[in-house]
Amino acid sequence: MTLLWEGTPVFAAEQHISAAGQLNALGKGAQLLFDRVTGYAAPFSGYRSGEDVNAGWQLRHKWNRFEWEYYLASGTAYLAINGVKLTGTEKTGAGWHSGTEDISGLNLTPNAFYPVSMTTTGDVQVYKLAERSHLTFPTLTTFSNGTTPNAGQWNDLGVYTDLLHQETAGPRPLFGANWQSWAGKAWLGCFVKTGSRWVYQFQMQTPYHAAANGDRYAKALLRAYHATTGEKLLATWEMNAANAGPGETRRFAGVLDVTAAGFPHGETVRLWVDFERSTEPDFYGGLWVDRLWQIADDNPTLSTWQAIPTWTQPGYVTDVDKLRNDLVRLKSAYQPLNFAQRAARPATPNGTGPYTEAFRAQRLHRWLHYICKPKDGAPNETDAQPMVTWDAGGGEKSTSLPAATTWGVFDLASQEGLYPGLLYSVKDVLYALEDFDA
Amino acid sequence: MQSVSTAFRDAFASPARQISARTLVRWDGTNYTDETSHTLDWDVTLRIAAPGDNLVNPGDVGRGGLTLANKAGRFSWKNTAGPLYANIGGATGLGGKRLLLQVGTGSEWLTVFTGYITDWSEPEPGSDVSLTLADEGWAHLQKRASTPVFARQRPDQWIDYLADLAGVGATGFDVSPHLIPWCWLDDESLLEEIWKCANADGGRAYFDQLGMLRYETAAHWLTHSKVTDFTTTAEFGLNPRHELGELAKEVIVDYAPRARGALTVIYKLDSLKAVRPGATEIIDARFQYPVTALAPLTAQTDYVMSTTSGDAVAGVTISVTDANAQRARISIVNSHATKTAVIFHLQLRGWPLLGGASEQESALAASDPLGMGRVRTQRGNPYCQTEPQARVLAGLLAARSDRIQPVWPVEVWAMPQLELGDRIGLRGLRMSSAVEGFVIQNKLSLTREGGLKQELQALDAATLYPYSNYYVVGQTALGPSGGRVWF
Repeated sequence: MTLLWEGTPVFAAEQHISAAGQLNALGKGAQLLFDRVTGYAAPFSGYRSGEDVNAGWQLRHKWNRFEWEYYLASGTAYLAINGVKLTGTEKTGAGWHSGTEDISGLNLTPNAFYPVSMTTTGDVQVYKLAERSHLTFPTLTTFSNGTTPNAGQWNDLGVYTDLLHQETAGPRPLFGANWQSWAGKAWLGCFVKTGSRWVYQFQMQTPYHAAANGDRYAKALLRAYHATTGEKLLATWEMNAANAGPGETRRFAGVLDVTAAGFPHGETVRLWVDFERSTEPDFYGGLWVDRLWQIADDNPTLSTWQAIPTWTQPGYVTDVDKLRNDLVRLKSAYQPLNFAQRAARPATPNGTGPYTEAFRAQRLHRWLHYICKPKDGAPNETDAQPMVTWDAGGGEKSTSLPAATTWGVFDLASQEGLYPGLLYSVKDVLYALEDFDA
Repeated sequence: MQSVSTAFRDAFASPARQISARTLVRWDGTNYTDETSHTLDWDVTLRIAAPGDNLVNPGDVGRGGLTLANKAGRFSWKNTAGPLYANIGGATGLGGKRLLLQVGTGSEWLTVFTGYITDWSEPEPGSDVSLTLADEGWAHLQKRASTPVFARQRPDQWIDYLADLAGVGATGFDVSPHLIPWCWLDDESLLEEIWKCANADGGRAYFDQLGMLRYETAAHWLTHSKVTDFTTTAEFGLNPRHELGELAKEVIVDYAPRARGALTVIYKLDSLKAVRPGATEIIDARFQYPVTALAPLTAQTDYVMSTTSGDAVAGVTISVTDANAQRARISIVNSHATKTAVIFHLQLRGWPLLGGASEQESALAASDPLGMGRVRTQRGNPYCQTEPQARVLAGLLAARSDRIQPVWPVEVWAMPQLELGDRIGLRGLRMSSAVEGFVIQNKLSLTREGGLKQELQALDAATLYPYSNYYVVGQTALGPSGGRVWF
């Protein structure tokens, strides 16, 4: 079992530079970082007023800059960490509200989990809750041919690479599925743009009866917003009287290319799925958003990225500036956000819907952190047996997670076939997220 | 080469030289006593193994012998009337006494051996005493230790830590390019671990003539310039030794990746443990895996206790002390005045280090030198945990295995300031040009009849390293006209 990240090498004065031990180790690290900032990325799953669960998230503490963004339609709203109100987040009046809070005063323990909650007297939509890295990076010298970097400058390459690793190997939320029966947002959140392709899976049901005006339809609209592009309608899926029967449920799944939207790489983009339908008061169906996340492009690119050389004896120590420039490019190509993990929704609006898993994801990290649902009235017991389920091609496999009413951790790598990149689901947990560290 | 004055160098180079020598022994453990007047002869050998699977074989320490005149019974350990009886008449006799051998001009002294008396023989009382000597490493060979798990240690950092644990005084270390993800000891020999760690890096660790522990990376000798030339005057005085067994077409190096696992139970007490009132029980717990950290003990989860009749008992403290990677000491203190505490359940939880099957890196020699397809392997080194480290080692050993690396034994006009690793030139009577080599064995002997003699073995420098213009950090410019990259 080879670890994908083995640490960065150290340089010393008068040392002979090793191809495998130093340069190629750095090059391999940079290439892994490239994959991280151009590959799979799970979005932050937000909240809208009216959902039938509390507006709760959990964060695994890494950094002390807390970023938030919500839309307030009416009333007052504020965010709290560990029950302590973040006064800077308290807003009144309709409009978009966002900011960054220094949470160092809360004395949170690194790698410990803490709850974030939204309290409102009105109507709110939460689009972003995340910690942002504020690590200090060294300034890299040029490493151009003809120069003679000293040991400290060489070491900066390793330090820089390791800092990038820390920024990109943090917790990844699992996709928090959601639904909507009434016209409105079925799912909302944000993402850091790393690629142009989106995996989606929705299930949509048409109303049983036509509205008074004769319409009978259901429609899903995927929309996104960035300040430089404005709002973009990325895709629409529609079922109506012409193509679907009354009360019919249909699955929409595929991969969507959103290149044309032109979102800038590495930037945070708001994302939401609107549900529209014809009016039917007794309708129990709606739109279920099962999966929605970015995957790597077939040929991911970053502007100015140069192929990293492979150094071998008897070659010369040259082209190190390519490695150096790529590291700098990686730094600018990614917003290091540690997204909060949304609490699981109840299985379906009425308990009989088409999906039951609370979270879905493509495996990225090794460790799954989770909390089981506590049984009502019995805090030390769990509500149901939590399970991880995946299909590596030989049929569906499942394994149960040990009961954990506080945070438990599970080794995904211990399961046969559950390799990085494989789709899996976690059900009957309250929270679940992946992290590089146990 | 040790630093000496010009006068010293000239005096020893002179054909008419007069050798002075001193034997200093620390009989009382503190002060050196000059035993030169009793010294009949001595010889000492310091060595580094020639390139092979291991550059320094585990258990390799410098050796020597010394003969002392003992007519008056000065060195007879059972001679109660002897002047040294207070120091050598004990349980260990002459064994374990620290000793220095020096040569000089009378006004300037050079230490050529620092070590210990490891054995002695005295056939009859009053006969000459022959001492067996070993270098500084002997003193540390038997020291064992257990440690916590340390993450991301360079070999030189880990060796430095082990040397501190062993109480090694003087040290000199190269900075290794590698990081070992996880290091720990579990009741293991400190010196043997130092050797293993150096081997995993393709380097070497040894004690020099001053008793200093040196750690050198595989590239260390690249920085050595020639310090002197020797021309043998003996007919056929240079006869190189060849080790065909070291040739191979491929070298495979195993490495064993490890990763931190999830919190789990790593120790469980199998039996009940009763602790009487006012008593303390100590449990030495050995873990199922090495652990990076232990979780704090939590009542009801990690331990359950009561009296034998099931009543609660107050005043019992359970704590973990002396926690190491694979063992810890659990202390149970029952401070209750009258109740016996029974521990029904006791466990320790921790974050283990998980290791899977070994993986391997292989490197091909430039050719199959013997055409026999021989493959050499380096396995089982716990400090070889990463692919880059294994790749460097495989590449290095493959480059050395594709041709004979001659070793030149030679007796020279003694130059006692020479050290292991010094680059020297050698020329025989019939050789048209000199060869250069690195000193890998240095034997000095002193006899009353023959004076000071020196026998060297030098590893041929011509092909030991494929190139000589490797890139050096802080000295070489980047680019295609700068320096080559090391393995």
